[in-house]
Amino acid sequence: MRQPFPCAVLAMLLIFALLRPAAAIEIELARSYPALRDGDARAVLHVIGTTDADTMDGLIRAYRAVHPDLALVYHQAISGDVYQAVEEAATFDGETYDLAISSAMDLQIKLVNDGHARLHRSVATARLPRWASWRERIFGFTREPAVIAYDTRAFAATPPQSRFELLNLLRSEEARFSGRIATYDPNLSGLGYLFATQDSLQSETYWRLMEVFGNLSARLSCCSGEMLDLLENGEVAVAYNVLGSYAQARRDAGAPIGIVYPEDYTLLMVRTALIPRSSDNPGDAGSFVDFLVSPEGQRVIAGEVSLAPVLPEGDEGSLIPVRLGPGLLVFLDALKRRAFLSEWQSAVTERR
Amino acid sequence: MTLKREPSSLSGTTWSLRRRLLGQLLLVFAGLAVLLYLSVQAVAGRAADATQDNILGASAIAIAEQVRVVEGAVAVDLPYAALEMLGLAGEDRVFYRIAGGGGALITGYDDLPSGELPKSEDTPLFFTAQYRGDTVRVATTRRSILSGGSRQTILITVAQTREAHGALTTSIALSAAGVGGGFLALAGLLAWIAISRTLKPVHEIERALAARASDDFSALETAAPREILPLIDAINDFVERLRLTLDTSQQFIAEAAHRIRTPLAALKAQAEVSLKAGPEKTSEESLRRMLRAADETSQLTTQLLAQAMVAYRAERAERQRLSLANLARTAVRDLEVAAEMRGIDFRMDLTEDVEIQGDEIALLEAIRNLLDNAIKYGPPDDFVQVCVPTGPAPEICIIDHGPGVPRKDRDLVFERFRRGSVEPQTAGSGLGLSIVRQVMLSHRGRVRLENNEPQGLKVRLIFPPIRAAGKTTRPET
Repeated sequence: MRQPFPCAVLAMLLIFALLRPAAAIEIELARSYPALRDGDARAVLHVIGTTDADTMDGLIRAYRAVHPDLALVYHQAISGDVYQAVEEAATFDGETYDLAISSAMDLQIKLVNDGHARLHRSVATARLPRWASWRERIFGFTREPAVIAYDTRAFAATPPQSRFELLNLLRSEEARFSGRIATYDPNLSGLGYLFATQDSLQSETYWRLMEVFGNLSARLSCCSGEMLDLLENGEVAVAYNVLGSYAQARRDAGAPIGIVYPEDYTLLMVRTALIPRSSDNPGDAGSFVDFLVSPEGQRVIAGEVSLAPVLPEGDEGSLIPVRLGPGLLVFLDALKRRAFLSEWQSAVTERR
Repeated sequence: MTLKREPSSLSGTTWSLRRRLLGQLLLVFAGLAVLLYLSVQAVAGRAADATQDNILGASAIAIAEQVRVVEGAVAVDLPYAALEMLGLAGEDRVFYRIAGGGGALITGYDDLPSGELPKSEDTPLFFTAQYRGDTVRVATTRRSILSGGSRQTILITVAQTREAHGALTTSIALSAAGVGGGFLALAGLLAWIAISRTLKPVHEIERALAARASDDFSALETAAPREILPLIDAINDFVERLRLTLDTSQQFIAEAAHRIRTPLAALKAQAEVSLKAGPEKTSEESLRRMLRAADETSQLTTQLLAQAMVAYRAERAERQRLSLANLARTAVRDLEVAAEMRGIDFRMDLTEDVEIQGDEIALLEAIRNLLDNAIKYGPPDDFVQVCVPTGPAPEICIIDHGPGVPRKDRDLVFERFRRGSVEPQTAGSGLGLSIVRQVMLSHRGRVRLENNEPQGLKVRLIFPPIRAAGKTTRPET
């Protein structure tokens, strides 16, 4: 079963990790790839990332085919630990990694802003759209839209195409949806928190939606995978703010899941890579970054890996990319976070 | 016939006028361009500073407005726009710090320097600092709030690295450099054209001079701007003088040839007559005539050469301080033998220490000519007076007791080959006084002929006082 994003316990650890910088970093899984060519490897590339090892496997294999003399170790960890690993390596004499991959854009941005990322300039990265890179130190390589997923068995008619339509539907048929709605709990999930905060910036509709979710006793979840499980099992009819690529993968696998890209706006996250300043092998790390955003790498991402490539940049329509930039630091602020979560809590629980 | 000469002939070329003008103009233009670049760079730096300060200040104030007291504790709802707006201009790193009374951190980067306390709440304080290995521009503002009955000052600090600032300054300065360079190139081109147009009259003069024949002494008729006219005038003046000199020389040569030919022909005729008559019939009288003809020819040649020498020295010779008394003594000594032959004495009345500025050789020639005349035209067994009187102007005078020169002849005797009407039998070329006049002219002096009472001629050579003679203006002919 896919569990690429941190679940409840891990998310709690993330928060603790943020509060206690010296806490131990937990590597969930380390997968080694020896050099393909006989004999000793020229060098070893240590990658730490939140993307699950099975998903990364396809990308790493494709990269090794071009660089057979390179050994590679992929360390899978939750986003808080990825952040901490890079920060500690810079501040203390921690374990060093050559590349950090994370879906937590805000934490990655903080690493760059605090000077923990290394400059990498290349033809390949120059092709990235402006919202998908910052300071030539952080590079988005997959696009992750936040979509509404629904149980096709629960909707005979056309499902709601926007937040406004969803709101109206839920208000008019409370009995039908009571307890059958799922969304991220921003307390538990870093990604859920990012989606919620960005939603709150986009529209007031979000807060009304959360109030209705509270009235309907919505199921609060840690991760997209869990919400898709609930949908697949028929426990919920609608899941709000699910990662589009995961929903698409389930659907492709035959699950009765429908996907709506909300017409009013669809948030677009990027999965990012950065080279820590403490990297022992920045050359190969840069080459790996170039591969990730190269046409070849993007083709692998779209194909075997079944994620959405960040390139080519087409007509985004209602897609609103979350810009990589200092604005993301705002919701990382401890006071801001506390205030936002408290507001969110009161919206969701007010009328329960 | 036109002589073609290399442009750099006698005096050697200095810098080309065109290149010198262009060089100087370009130097000035380059200085102006550099000045332009520096001032634009300074202005650009200040403008970029102001831009960044404005955004930083706005960000700090936006945060300050969100400072609240919630349930007795200070709370800040960091506005999203406060940091997002800092990311719009470039990709600079952003830091912030919010601290309460006594500097206790409320939220943000604890080690960020917040500088001094700003005086007022409306105007943030700006400064530049080093933070985390980068230069940052910092804005600090403060906000007073009432918390738990006491007033607290909250310090809000926002900082941003300066990469976009530097990039902006550089790009503006580069544009300025481009404009300056373009300005320089354009100015150089225009200067080249302007200089070429300005120098056109000079080239026209050159063409006109090059095209004319070597015997063409007419004035240049080129139209020229006011600044060039003096040059044309000077050229015309010079050509005119050249023509006069050449005319004089030609006349002189023609007359000299004629004068020399006459006594030579006489000499030749005498010799032929004597040869025909045979040695026994050759009379003493005819030998004497031959001797006299040879004498005249010799003197004429000597004086012609002397005149040519004097004319040459008048222009070239160096002037030195000379004592008139010494000059007189030297000349007298040179002519003592000739005087003795006619039984003539010299009586000298010389004031010492009368000095002039002059050419010794030419002056001696002139004085000798006068003494020679006095010996020749004065009665034998007589004396010739030589004097250097005291007076306002330096003067030397020679007095004989000969027939003198009638008043009507006094201008005539100075002409070449003219002699006084009195003494046709005396050997003489008619060049002596003309040489004297030429020497005196070149010394800016005068020759005066006066009657000596009761009989004879007094010649006075009057020189300008030594100071006036120091000025080397050209004598007018």
